[in-house]
Amino acid sequence: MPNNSGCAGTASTPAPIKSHTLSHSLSLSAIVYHNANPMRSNMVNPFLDVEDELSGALDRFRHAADGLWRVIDKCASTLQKIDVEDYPDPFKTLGFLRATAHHFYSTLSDSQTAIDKMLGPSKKALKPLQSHIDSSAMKYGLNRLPTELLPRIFLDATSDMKSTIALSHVSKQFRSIVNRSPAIWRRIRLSSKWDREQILAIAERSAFLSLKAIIWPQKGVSGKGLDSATAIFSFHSCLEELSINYLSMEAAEEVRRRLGFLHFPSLQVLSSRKSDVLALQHPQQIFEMPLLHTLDADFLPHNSMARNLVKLSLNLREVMALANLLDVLSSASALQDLSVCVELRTEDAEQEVPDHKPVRLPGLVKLSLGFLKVSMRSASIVARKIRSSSLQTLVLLNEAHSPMRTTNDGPFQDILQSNPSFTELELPPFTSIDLCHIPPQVEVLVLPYEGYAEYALVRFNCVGTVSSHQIRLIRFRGFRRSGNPSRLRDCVYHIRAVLLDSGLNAVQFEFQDCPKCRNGSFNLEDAYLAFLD
Amino acid sequence: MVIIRTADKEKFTVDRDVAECSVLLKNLLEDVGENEEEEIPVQNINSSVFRKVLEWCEHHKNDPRPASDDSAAEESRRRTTDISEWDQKFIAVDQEMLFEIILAANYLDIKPLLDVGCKTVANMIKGKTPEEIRKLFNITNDFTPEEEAQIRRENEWAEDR
Repeated sequence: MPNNSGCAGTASTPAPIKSHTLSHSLSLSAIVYHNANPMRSNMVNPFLDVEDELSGALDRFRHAADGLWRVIDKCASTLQKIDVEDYPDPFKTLGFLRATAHHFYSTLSDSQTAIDKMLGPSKKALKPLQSHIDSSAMKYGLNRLPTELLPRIFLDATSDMKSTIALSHVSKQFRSIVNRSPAIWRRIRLSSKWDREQILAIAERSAFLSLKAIIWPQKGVSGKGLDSATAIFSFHSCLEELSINYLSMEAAEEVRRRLGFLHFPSLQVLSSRKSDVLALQHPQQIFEMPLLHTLDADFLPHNSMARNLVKLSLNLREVMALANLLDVLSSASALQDLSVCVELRTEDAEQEVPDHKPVRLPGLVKLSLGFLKVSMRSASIVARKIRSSSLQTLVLLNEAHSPMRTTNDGPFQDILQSNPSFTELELPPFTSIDLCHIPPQVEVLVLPYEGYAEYALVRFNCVGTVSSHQIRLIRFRGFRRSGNPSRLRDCVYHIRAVLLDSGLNAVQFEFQDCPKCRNGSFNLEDAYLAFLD
Repeated sequence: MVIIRTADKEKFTVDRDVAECSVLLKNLLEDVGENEEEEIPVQNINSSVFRKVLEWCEHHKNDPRPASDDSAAEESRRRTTDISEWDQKFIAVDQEMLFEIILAANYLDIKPLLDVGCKTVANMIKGKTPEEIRKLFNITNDFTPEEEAQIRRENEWAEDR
């Protein structure tokens, strides 16, 4: 009998699938895994669950496969028995073969469905196995790393109290590493809002070195707030950065009564607002902050306090005599960044050219001048008394928060012309800008603004010649996207016309802090599109 | 060109300036001088990992080399948590390879690559709760009841006050 069926030749039954073979492998994997892992006591082992599920699925699959092979065998033996002579009618023979093939096909199809159904849970069971393998690689990898790398990774992984605490609450091992890494804790500022236990714990974990702290406003001179502030001040010799807000003379004296006079030999950065910080110090040792390089204060510091300052920001509360201000600045010869917002006393402010020797600050790179009232008179007098050949950036701060307009004369021009070396100019928000009022050497014009772009762009104008101007970049800071696209388009057309008329058509635009805008510089059309994105 | 032999006996012919991204290889090359025939063995690294490390070195061969004695510059570089776009794509590998790269960078003394690896692991941890970190590293909470009590107190510290 001819073997006329391809099926018959392939219908030899394969070796039965033994589910215990795989389950044995899995058990072995679990054992190997456990032995390989030095911290297995910490591990959750999912192999056993997976093994159970896979074993069950494989049993069901084996039954289905057995059934399939029985049917295939039956079909094959039936086909083998066919004798053409028994079926002289070829159509009948064909019909029988078709029926057999159909039966075989439908059985195979059913079996395929059954197999898929059986494999489903197994595939599902494999998912956690895969993720477990991944996390095992993580854990195993983590344990293989040299011990000195873990504190370093943890330092990169934390930035504040929340992330630090989270990492220290993972396990004993993690807690031990985090709590013995002072560099992690030193980034957290001790706060007078915390209770004493917390302040002491964080200071201890920082190894009592390079501490940072913030003192919040106190209510009276007793109670928890002042206790916490006192706890912070007890580390006065370890403080590297300190911010004091609204510490009254009364509260300062209470701290001094409890701790004695304080000195701050490690302090590098000090910020003080409405606080009598100087009352904490002994009159004989006052201003003993030899390492202080950054001061942000609303009081005029003593000359010795200013000696090593690199950055000084003065937002002076009281009307000031120009002589006193210049006296302090003259001792701050290392300054690179100076910000002054002051209201000069009337007799100084009214003088056309106050008779004071100018202060030379050779390293000054950035000068910010604030004016508290609409008049820029005080700011212009201060500007004219500061000399620096290295000045790169001039910033005008409108602390009066009122709209201002560039002008061709008066204090505005006095300020701009006082130090002709700067090439970057920042004007306050709400400034109506006529480009011809901007000094020709300015290359970068910075415009901070909180609001929609078009309200700033419309403030550009040019009513005179600016052909010698060198503006190459206008940097917007703090804009949100457009509130009214058609108005923005009008503004863009307007500013383009202004720049074209001025011969400044190659000016680039840059947007900082605009969540909707791409980073980088744009020409005007791109800038327009960037806002509309 | 220099010949470097990995732990699994595979040989790599590498440009000298690429190999010198590694302080270890740079020192070894100084010892062997100009003898290009001499193979440099790297015992702890297999070929698949070394190939990946070479890919990084090739891309960064012209970067300024960190001075070994400039701890301030190193600290500054480390503090920047940003990873360049190219490095992000480079380090987007499975976790086993990630740790192999870190170990190789540590062994070969390639500080900037070590930074990339460590920052990548750090970024995987960032912003996660303790439970999420446990899940990430497959770690069981093994604190004693006393430690748990302390941890509950410390949880208040993390609240925004």
